[in-house]
Amino acid sequence: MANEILTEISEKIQKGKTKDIKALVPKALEAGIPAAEILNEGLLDGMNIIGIKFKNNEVFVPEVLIAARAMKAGTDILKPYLVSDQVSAKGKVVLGTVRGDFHDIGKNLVKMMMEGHGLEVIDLGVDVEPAAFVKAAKENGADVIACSALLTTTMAEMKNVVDLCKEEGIRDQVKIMIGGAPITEAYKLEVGADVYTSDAASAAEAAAALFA
Amino acid sequence: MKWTNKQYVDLMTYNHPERPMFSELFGPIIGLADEWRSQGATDDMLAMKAFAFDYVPYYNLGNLDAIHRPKEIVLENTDVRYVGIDHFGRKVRMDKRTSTIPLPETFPVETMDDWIKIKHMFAYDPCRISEDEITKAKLLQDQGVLIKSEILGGFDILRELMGEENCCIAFYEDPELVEDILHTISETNIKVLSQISEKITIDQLSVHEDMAGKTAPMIGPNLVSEFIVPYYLQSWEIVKNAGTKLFCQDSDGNMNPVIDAFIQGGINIFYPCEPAGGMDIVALRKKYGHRIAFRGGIDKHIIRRTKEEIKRELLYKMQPCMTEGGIVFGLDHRIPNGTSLENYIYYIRTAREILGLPPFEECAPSWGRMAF
Ligand code: B12
Repeated sequence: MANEILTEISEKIQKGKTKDIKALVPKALEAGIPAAEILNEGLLDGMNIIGIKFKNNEVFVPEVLIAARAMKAGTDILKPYLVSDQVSAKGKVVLGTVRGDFHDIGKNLVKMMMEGHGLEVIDLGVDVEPAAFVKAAKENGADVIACSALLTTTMAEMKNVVDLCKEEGIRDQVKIMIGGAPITEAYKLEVGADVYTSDAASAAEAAAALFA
Repeated sequence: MKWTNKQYVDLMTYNHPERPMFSELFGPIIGLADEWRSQGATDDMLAMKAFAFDYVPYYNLGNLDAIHRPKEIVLENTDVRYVGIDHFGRKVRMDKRTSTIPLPETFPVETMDDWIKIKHMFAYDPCRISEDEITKAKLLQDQGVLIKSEILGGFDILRELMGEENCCIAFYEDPELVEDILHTISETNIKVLSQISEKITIDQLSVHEDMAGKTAPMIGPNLVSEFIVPYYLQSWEIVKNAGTKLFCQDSDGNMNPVIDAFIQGGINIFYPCEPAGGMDIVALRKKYGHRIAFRGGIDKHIIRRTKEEIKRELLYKMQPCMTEGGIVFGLDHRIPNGTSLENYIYYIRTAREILGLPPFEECAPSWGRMAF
């Protein structure tokens, strides 16, 4: 019974069926399935599968968005139970698009996918100063700083973020992830960041792997 | 060299073109002129003219865009920042140091009611095309100017009105709204293009989508086939039946997963074919043969690297299967910052040599943007 409901939740997430999720999650709770299990084996399982399909270009942004919306509806219902069960996020990520750059679609997908892997994401938005990344990381005790840049004119800001982390003495405590249109593995090495991935699903997998 | 419309159409339809076409499609990115000036660029170089680029002059016939738009309101305008309310009533902002296109932060359409309020901007109106304009276009066409009409992008206009995220969701949660928007625009396209096609065969139908990122298009082949292809075909059939041969789509990023779907919609020129987005014109030529043509295709990032890498890219992209036609060779977008003038000149020299064109110094200065 428990397995069936969880499989159904995962499938409805993959299809982005918010209404069904809103009905199924309370049903699962009523059936006595622990909130953490509903989260991991239902909601997040569905999001993981969507992530894999996104990486393989089998589904695209709309399918990810409706899945993420359904997941949010599910986690909103679960939140009070997760708090009382003391289930916390697997890790914290500070995310933003770098200074001078206003592109945010890719960054938003990275956020959704990371949340789909059970990570807490503090989204600083676009046009983010290096100091704001570092400040947010310190204040929130974040484990990861993730920077998005879509322009060759703004990608150099990533080096500024890395340098400022060193200056402020937090470089050893945070992993720095970078991505976006002009970014490559070679550029990651050049600026001294830790992780580069070409798409949002791989970004979330890589971030989650840091906490495994 | 200045090309004629006929030469361009022959090139893009593989109809025994006289020679390859080598162009700079967009020009330099913001800020590059200052870098080049300090490296000794002449005025002609800064104006792109010095490099004897090939181009075809063009003229846009008919207005298929939104009309009767409210005036823009400027809220803040400094040396570095622009904030305003644009002609769709969207709040926009721009950092002038990195952009020339403002970024919308709010969008006018969330529901059918919102759309109905602005629908009139997309309806047919006699001011969209006039007999005088058609007569003028005919004269220009006879003089070798390429005549094109441009329909709104099926994805692009939804994004402009609703924002990326809402429009993506609307395909699933409010398909009637998506259909109503595309249907309204299509009706207008049909009326205007029919009026045009009775009198003149336009050389190219164009559409701007810019709908892809580094690894994928924003929407996949299923939604393209369901919503965008029928919208394209309604316009394409009209001009095609009147003899138009070219239908060109502008989209950055990785369009590979949706190329087949768009071919079904009539597209036969893809541009700018961004290599950093996984587009490889040689692989596409091998896969699609003469069914499709390209503009662009040369990696703008390579010209910031070493001369060996530049040469390797050019030898690969300009191999014999590519020089037989069906392509305007050029960088896949604006020349990036950090490209040294020396590298850029090396790029031009090497490309012209491979293509068998005389050195640019021996040719008359020429450049025209080829972003159409
Ligand atoms: C849509 C778009 C815009 C929109 C942005 C709307 C918005 N809200 O974001 C608008 C029209 C406003 C715009 C403006 C400009 N743009 Co623009 N834009 C694009 C376009 C077509 C698509 C970007 C996109 O949204 N992709 C969809 C998402 C899903 O993909 P993605 O961003 O690649 O993200 C994926 C991965 O990269 C990765 N990822 C992203 N971030 C991160 C972060 C981390 C940590 C990790 C691990 C992974 C990761 O995961 C994502 C999902 O899989 C790109 C083309 C391209 N190839 O990217 C040009 C592009 C980025 N733009 C470009 C340019 C030149 C500009 C302008 C300067 C144009 C101008 N004349 O003003 C301005 C600059 C504005 C500014 N200051 O930021 C150029 C940049 C060229 C260069 N030299 O760098 C591009 C590459 C176009 C091209 N063919 O050259 N643009």
